[in-house]
Amino acid sequence: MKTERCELCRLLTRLALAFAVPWLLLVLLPYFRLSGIEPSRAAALAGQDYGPARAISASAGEKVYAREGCAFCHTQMVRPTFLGSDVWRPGWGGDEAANRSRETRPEDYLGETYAHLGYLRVGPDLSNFGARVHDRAAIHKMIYAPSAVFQPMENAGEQTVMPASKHLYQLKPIVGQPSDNRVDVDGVEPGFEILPSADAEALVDYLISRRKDRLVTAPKEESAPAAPAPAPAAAPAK
Amino acid sequence: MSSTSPGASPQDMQERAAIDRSVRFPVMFFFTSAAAWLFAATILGMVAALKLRVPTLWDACPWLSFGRIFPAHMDALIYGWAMQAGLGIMIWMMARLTRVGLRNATYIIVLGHIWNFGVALGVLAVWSGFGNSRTWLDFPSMLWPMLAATYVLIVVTILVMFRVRRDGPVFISEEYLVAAAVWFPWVYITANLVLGAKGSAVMSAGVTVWYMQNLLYFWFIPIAVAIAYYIVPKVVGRPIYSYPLAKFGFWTLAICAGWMGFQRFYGGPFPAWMPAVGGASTIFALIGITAIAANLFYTMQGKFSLMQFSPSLRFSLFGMAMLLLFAVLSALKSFIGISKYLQFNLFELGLDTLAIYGVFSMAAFGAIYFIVPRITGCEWPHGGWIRRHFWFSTYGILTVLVGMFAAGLSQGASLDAWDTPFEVSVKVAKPWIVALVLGWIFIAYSNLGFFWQLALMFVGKGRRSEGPTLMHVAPGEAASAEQAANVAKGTAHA
Repeated sequence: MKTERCELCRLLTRLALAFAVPWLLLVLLPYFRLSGIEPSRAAALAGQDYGPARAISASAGEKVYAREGCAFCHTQMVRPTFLGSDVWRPGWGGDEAANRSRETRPEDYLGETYAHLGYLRVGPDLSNFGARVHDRAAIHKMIYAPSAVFQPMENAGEQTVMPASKHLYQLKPIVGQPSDNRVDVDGVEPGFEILPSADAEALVDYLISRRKDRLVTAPKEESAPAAPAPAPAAAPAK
Repeated sequence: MSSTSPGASPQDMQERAAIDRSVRFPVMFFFTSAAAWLFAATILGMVAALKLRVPTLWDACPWLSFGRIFPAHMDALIYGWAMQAGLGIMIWMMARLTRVGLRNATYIIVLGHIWNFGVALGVLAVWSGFGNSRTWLDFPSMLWPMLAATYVLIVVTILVMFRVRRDGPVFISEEYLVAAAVWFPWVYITANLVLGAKGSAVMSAGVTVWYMQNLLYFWFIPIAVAIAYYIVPKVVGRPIYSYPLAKFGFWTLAICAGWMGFQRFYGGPFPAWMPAVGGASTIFALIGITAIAANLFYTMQGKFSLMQFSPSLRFSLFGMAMLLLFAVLSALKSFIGISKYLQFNLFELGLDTLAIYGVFSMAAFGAIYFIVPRITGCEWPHGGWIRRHFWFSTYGILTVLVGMFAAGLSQGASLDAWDTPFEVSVKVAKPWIVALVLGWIFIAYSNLGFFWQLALMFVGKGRRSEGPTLMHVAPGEAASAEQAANVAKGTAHA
């Protein structure tokens, strides 16, 4: 009768077996393996290992990005060409002029605590936002009043679906000369100006630091001898 | 009440009544607080959808921006409504199936309060700007140990019931319930530990989608299926068509589900086999879900007219139909050639809503319509309200699904044409977002009657009468759906 009574242990063992395999192989092992990756040798050679430095400058901005839920509408993941035309979309894959446009790879996210790969793509992909937009004032304006930046489209009169984050900015009286960093929008009360808060500045820092187009293949003479680091082997097939 | 099940001896009846009494307060606590959360979640969902369509509306208020209200809505729906309704159903069904009453009702109620407190803190935190953009795991990190511990302490009672159960064959619903009970903490704790360890950034994102898919396939779907396997034989009055087939469905799901999740990030920064195996196992899981659906179909064969009368049967079978639809759509989306167009667009949102509302919530409503009269000793006041609940929920979820599917297709096609500006993909999808707004309005409306009736039952103001509340039948006219169907057939012949 012992077997009858241990029905629970039997069921639990079977469930655990069914589940432990993917748990180990799909989550734990890749986690430790991907935690150990290093920047590609080529990027290091070209002096492009800006992961750690970027993490420090952008961590406050990452918090704002995350808490305002930006990642629900913006992805940060460029798919390879067999999965859509992300790489060909102007500016999405990286700096096209320097011929560095490509899909994202695990080592691109080094130095970040969480890769905001995204949920929906209601807004454009931001993987390489820093490669296509450099003007801080323009970014501030976009965050403060997106409808002032994205003009109504022909035929439909539709505007952007991006919400305005006005709470990241303050309305302040102008003292002396207008400030250089004021947000340039219409309809501000005379004698007042709109200034970005520290959070808004941090968010813009974060957005400008979005670049995932470092070199992955070194010029020929440098890459010839040594076996490639484990990272490229783990990366998705090109 | 349940007095109609054939072959129940008076002793049986007394035992059942005693079990129902023992779980009455914790189960009612979970159902009522779940319903309150459902109300909050539908309102949040409505506003979130509206804000996605008209972002300039009330745009000075950061609390109402889509990026905050949408995660708050999802968290309220999942942890507030779905998980509490599921816990209540688990406790009652396990007590009935194992014939073990609950001895420590107060303990469960205290834990239930802690769970509610944790979820309320979490939702408020996300809403007020302390979230972290991690889909479905966006509560501040200090909350998860509390929620995990509360959940474990609650489900321990379910496992104890199963442990001390009477000898005899194990019913398939019990297996599903045990599985759901133990899988959730495993997945939840793993995901949170990986996120907390701050190791690999990409694996942190990966484990989030792995958690999402596992929550769907390891918690929502097992409980929905357990409900259907319980209610269908009860109402129809015959055993499950094939027991081996039921086992096959269960183990197929159990083996496949753990591999899922990464297919949401096809082409993402992972070793390519990880999304591929996720997609493949989603396709294989379709086999298991087809087995479940076929089994229920053959159990029902010739008795489909009962769906016209029994609310429990109608809701839970509709949930199963939606489960089949969900599994088919998920499998289709797992093919690379199709995923290319549907990945990252509004279709994804439609599919998640379908799983939580169309599959799980509809099945859960079926269970609640079955359970509450038994534990409170009074009947649902009004069959017409139940019918309205069913139809408007159906309209709502189908509107969301069709709208999001259309939005997804147009958005995906436009995104794939690399030389059209990105804004065009928003422009073509935008009109369809109205479907999301309408869908949540339908769902909110449908649930008003449910809340009202549940509140009446809670305070003991239900209908006191012989005979259950059925749809399309005046109260007391028929003692069971079976009888109502026979009467209907008789009048048709006459």
